[in-house]
Amino acid sequence: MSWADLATIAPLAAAILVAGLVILTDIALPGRRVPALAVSFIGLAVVAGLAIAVGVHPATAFGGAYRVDDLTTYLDLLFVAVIALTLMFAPDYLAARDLPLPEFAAVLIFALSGVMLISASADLVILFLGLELMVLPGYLLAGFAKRDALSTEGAIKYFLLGSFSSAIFLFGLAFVWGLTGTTRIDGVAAALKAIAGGSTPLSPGLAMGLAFLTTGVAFKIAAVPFHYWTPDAYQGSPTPVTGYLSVVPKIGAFALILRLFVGALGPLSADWDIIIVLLAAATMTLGNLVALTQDSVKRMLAYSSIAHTGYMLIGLAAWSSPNSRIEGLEGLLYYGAAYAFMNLGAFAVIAALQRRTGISSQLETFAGLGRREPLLAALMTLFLLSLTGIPPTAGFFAKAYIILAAVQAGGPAGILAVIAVLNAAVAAFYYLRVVVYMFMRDPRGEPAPLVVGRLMRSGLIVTAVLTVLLGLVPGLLLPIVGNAARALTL
Amino acid sequence: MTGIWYIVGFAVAGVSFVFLTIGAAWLISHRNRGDLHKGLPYESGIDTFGDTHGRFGLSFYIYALLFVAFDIEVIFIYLWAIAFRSLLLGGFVSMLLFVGILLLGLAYAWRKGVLTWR
Repeated sequence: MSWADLATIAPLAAAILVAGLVILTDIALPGRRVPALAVSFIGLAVVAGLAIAVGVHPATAFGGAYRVDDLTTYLDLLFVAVIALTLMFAPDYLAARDLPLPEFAAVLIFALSGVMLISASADLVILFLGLELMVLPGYLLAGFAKRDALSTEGAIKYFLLGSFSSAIFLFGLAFVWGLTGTTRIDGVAAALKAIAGGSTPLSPGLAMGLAFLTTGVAFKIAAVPFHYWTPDAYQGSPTPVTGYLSVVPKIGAFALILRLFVGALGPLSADWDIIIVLLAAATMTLGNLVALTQDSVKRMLAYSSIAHTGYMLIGLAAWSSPNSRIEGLEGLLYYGAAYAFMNLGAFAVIAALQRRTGISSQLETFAGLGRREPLLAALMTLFLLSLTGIPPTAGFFAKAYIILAAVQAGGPAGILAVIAVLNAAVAAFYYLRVVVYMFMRDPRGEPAPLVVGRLMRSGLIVTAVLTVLLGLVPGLLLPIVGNAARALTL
Repeated sequence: MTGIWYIVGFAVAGVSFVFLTIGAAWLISHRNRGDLHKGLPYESGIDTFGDTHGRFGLSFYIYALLFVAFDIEVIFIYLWAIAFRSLLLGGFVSMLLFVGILLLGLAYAWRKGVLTWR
């Protein structure tokens, strides 16, 4: 380990140190929320600054196991932004339920270090390490409301299925390592190139390894038919945690898919692309159809996040066709950013509504919101319009771009474009149903007035501004996304 | 892909092992479900009295959890100690960092009152 190595991993090390500092703050000043929150925000700013500083020069560290390229920097900054926003949405909700904030912040920042490790890995074992570091805090956060039975139930389901899927993933990884002789992503790609070139036959062990890897990863992104943990885990978790879970582990798992499938298993893309096409089609369709039947807005958004996973998989399917390699990846990465902000915003509005305990996330809570809380209703409408994909929001441009990539790909991926458009039309029903409830229904009873805290309000405004900005001026993010996509295919 | 039959054979063997075991147990005993007395815990032949559910204090669980974490730490420290001479200063600093992170965990547990016996 040299000084150059340490300099390269500086953002990751800083994230871990910040989490440790938050714990120290909690030890030194127990029961105080503001110091821990201040340390977290300052620490996140430092991590972001380091990520930009290190990202200027692509480099590798630790003998080629850790690598920093444009993809790493883009993902690091996206995750830091999402974690910072989650920390802005959480305090009011947690305070009302007497849940500790410093531990919440520390666990969240440990999860950040996990996703940063995934986005910077060049070795399959480091990828797995990052994956575990990302999901273990998630299990903890899902069960954060210890005395709430629903939260514990969701956490157990998430934990059991997540652990199983990590084990399955590792099993597949072991096969790939055993049959290619290396765990370095470049090494695996080189060995597989020989197989794809026809000089070595595809051994059944490798095919099985591929199957296990795909299964393990599909659990993490909640692709159908591996999505069964999602609705219960999302509905049971405290709402800010649901917002976090629907974004960070999902995009982190997509980062894993990019490093693994595009980086390591890329040469075999002719073998796995049909599976990705089928997964995408099934995920989109089932997610949207089941969301139609949901009463609870949190559960509906959980199923809708499954559907969005399907849309993002279209980007990966588009990559495997040589016509649209870069467009597919760009579409996926842009969709990741747009989805992050709009989904986080939607859950943040629900968290704001649930500031007092005992308020459920059923549709009735939203009845008449347009008159009672115009700002929250307007923000929720913006986020729902973005989720539907109506211009000029981020969701519209993201969907448009990914459908364009699918059309450009042709073949089976082209059919995905048709399925995506049909699904977007179906999804409009359940998103706009909430808007109808907010503006065209009268509230039952006389709900007490709500006070939205300053931090929550500024967080919501930032998210809303980003959602509109990414839709009106996509040119702000597109070059960065393009560089990230190109860095991956090098 | 001629080697596929090995994998198919392995899968069939694994699945059939489970079904054979459960099936054999079912075959032998599905008709005799036993009565109330067959299911009672053994207490040297007399009828049970009192609640047979044992209860344990939570503190045992917490100590066991902390023990597992620190025991795994000891495993790594042992391996480091064996290779200490060739690892020089870099290895020492890395191990210091590792133990430091775990000490932070211990300090946190201590401060939160987890170590007091209840």
